[in-house]
Amino acid sequence: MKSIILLILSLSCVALSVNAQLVPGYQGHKNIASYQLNISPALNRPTYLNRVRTNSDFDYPLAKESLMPFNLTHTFKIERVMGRKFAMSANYSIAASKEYVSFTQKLFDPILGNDNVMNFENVKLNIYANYFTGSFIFYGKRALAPFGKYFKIDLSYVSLVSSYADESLTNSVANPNLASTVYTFNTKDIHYALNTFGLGCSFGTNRIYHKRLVINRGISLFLLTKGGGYIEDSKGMIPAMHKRMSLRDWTSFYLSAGYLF
Amino acid sequence: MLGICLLVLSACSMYAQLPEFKNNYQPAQSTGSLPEVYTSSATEKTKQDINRLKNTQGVKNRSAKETFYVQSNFYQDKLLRSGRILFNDPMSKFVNKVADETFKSDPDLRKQLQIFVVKSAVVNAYCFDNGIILVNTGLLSQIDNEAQLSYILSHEVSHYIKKHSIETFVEKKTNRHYSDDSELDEYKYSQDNELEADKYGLKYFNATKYSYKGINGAFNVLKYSYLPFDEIVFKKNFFEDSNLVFPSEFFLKEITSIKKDENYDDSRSTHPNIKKRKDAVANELGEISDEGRQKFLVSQEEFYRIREMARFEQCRIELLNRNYATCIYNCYMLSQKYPENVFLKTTIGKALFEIAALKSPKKSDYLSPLVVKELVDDEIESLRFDYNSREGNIQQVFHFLDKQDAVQSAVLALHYNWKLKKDLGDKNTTANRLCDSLFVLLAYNNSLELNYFNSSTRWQYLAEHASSPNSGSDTATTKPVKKLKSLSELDETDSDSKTARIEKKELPLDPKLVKGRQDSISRAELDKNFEKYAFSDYRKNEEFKQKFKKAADIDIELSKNSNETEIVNKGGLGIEKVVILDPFYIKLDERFGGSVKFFEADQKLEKFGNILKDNAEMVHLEYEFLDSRTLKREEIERYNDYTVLHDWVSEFLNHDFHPNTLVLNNEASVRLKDKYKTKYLLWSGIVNVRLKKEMVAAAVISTCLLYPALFTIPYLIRKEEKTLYVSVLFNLENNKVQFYETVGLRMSDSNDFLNAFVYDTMLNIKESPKYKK
Repeated sequence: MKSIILLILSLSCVALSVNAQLVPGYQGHKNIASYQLNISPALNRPTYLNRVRTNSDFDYPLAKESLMPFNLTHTFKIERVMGRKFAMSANYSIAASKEYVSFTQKLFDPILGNDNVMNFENVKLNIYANYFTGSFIFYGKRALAPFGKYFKIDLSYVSLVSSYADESLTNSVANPNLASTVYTFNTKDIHYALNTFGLGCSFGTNRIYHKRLVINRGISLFLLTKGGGYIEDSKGMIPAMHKRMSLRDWTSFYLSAGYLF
Repeated sequence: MLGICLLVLSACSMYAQLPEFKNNYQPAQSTGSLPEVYTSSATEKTKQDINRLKNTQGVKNRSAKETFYVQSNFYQDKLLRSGRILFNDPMSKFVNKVADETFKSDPDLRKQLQIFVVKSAVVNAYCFDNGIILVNTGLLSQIDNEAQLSYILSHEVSHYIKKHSIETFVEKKTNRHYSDDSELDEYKYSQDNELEADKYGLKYFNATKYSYKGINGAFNVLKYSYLPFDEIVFKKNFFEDSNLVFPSEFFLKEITSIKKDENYDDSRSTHPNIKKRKDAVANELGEISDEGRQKFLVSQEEFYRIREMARFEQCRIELLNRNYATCIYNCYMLSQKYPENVFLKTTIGKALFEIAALKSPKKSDYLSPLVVKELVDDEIESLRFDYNSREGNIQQVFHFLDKQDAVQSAVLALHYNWKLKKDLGDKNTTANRLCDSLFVLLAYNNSLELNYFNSSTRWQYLAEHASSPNSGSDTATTKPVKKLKSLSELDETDSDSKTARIEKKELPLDPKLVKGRQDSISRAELDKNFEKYAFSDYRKNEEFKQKFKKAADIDIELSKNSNETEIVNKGGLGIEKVVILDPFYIKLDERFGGSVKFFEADQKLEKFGNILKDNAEMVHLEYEFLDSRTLKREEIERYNDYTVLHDWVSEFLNHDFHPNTLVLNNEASVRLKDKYKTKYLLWSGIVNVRLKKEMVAAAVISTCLLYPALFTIPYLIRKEEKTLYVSVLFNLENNKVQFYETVGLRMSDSNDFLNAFVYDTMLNIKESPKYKK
């Protein structure tokens, strides 16, 4: 955590010192408001739309098979050119995913009058993520912010929330003396949350069309830290959610369209 | 008797000094209005030609002919806009008058011809398919009379009539008649065309009143065209005075005689050998009478005037081309006739300086009036004074320059330029700057101290050491160089013809060199250290001493002001106004053997010009856009400005883009300052290359693996291109590159790329030092 704060401070210092110079921007325009779509291939895990790659290494009986499933992240960002080779941006991103979990749950048996430990297999979990990101964009030797190739460092505050896809889960146990008992696990109001940090980097290219339209594309790598709120809960939901999102965001390609002003 | 007297008087008038060149030479300039060929673009001309071809029935090899029109029009356009073309100047006017005389019998043909003079040292004239004939100053400097010029024009027009250039092109493209050795066949085809033009040209020449001697003369001019415009003895004492005397080893005792063979091997030449050409023309002519025919019909006086101009131009061009030995020899020949001519003196001074700079040891850049360029080995090789390959008296100059080491070259250059500075006064900035730089060459680059040079004179040394006054025939006397009133004094020939001088006698040598001398031991010592006496007279001069000392202290200054070197190319210049000169745009296609995309480049050039203007306006930078494509017919003054500035940039770039080159062409800076109120010249351009796509098969296969398709499909769809943007801001006052920006990207020459960097360039020029590159 300390190292992240130090990194932010040092990058901010660089930004301020660069900003002491006059900045060309693109013909004098230095701000870009844009929307970005990150696409990451769903290699072995299901997407939020419950699609999984055909012939996946894992078996997800409840997911639909698809040829090329993708995970999507939507980002809204404001970029400001601070120097000839340097820019900063503030981003807000949203993403969602799906995971299948198996766990045990103690449920009250009204007939026996005691708790019974029930197994739940392949339970669908929806995961929602909010990213609040600050980016430091370093343009290449042959680029001139905001035009050209760049290397970007992203520092994110990430809020992960997951909930069960179904409002209630049921399971039944065959009782030798009685008829089978159906156990219901009411999941409607159950949420699992994790607030953590992420560190990412991107390599991309900005192109400008008709003097105003900025098209940006590149490849992004993102590492989700475990952060302070990480707890090993009894069902392992938070680790599962963390792992799922970590894998999902690890690599993505992105394309954005923005307005230069 | 009267006739003889008149003949002598006439001959004298030929050789006599022409008053307009006595003191100085002003480079030739165009006058009147711009010819039509300048106001229409190459694209328009080509489209017209191609449309004409399309509307003509039964045209063979249509595709090859279209390619010819494209290449020919764009090459011609490039040449016309090179800043080297002259029109309505005395030389062009005279050549046109001779053309009027030559084609008097065919007025319709004459109307189709447009004749211009090109500032080029090459002895040549050429004709385009559309009737444009270009005559080089190199040719004008060598011919002896109008009749020769008339025959050369007749020959060139024959190429036009017979459409040789397009036919040769089509022949080459289609390889119709070629055998196994197609290269030899090409030469053969070209030679056949030349012989045909030689013979067909007689049709027009016969109709004139020009002497048939002109034909033979023209062939002789071509025969010796590899030699300078004249052939006279290079005197040893030209650079000498009482304290600077060169050892006789610096001069050849015997020079290689000029080859007079006319029947040389021409199998690898585009032109037949001279003997074949002379024979072919003689056969065609049959029996002729020269009665009533003359060598001059327009004006003998005017001919000698324009030839002299062409010869002065040769000096200037050879300096620009960095052919320093040839430049010095040309200047030497003219200075025998015009000893007071400032242009010749400063041109020699500059050439000597360049040689000294070339030979001096390399050292890091420093803040001086001039930084001596660091030469790469290849360049040194290319600028060597290879005297063995030379013939005639110019060999002596090559030998003389080759034998000098770095110190001796610098001593000679400073010795010459210091005298020049004293002669011309301190107002002559060229001589001043040359001297300042030469002090640096001696003291800094060659690490010499003033004490290296003797304070005693050669005479004192000789008085002390000579056992007898006649112990050696010192060629170095204080006697001034004899200045000739005319070239005829230099030899015994009664003709002003270089050819006559070569053909009628053996090559003469400076008699003092032929005689040789018996060196005493003391004289050998004197020769060994001859350069140490060069500044004996100047050592007491306070200014000389101060300048030498200042140059020697440059190391200390450098260490003190080490940060100052960073000023270069940092932008934030705060400049209010620039002249944007002739932007360039080159588009190549690597896929088809590096072919040039003429049409696209022409269109893009116009857009690039607008980008430059738009971005200059955005940053409120005042500008003058000087581009020959946008000039109107009446803007001849701007055209001349364009050519002068073009020459300046050419001279600068000939020095391999070294940011601290000294350019002799002061006129450019004066024009900028007086007319455009700025000293800054911006020169920009784009080079775009369409690249061959590599690993296409691998990309196609990878696409089948689904996810890689994200990369491979865009790769397969998009064009692979590489683009280079160059912008250089010259300060013509101090001959420095004030700022430059070069960016090479593997992408198309898109507007965003150009706008981004052009805007940055303009902002770097306009903004205060807070904005830095």
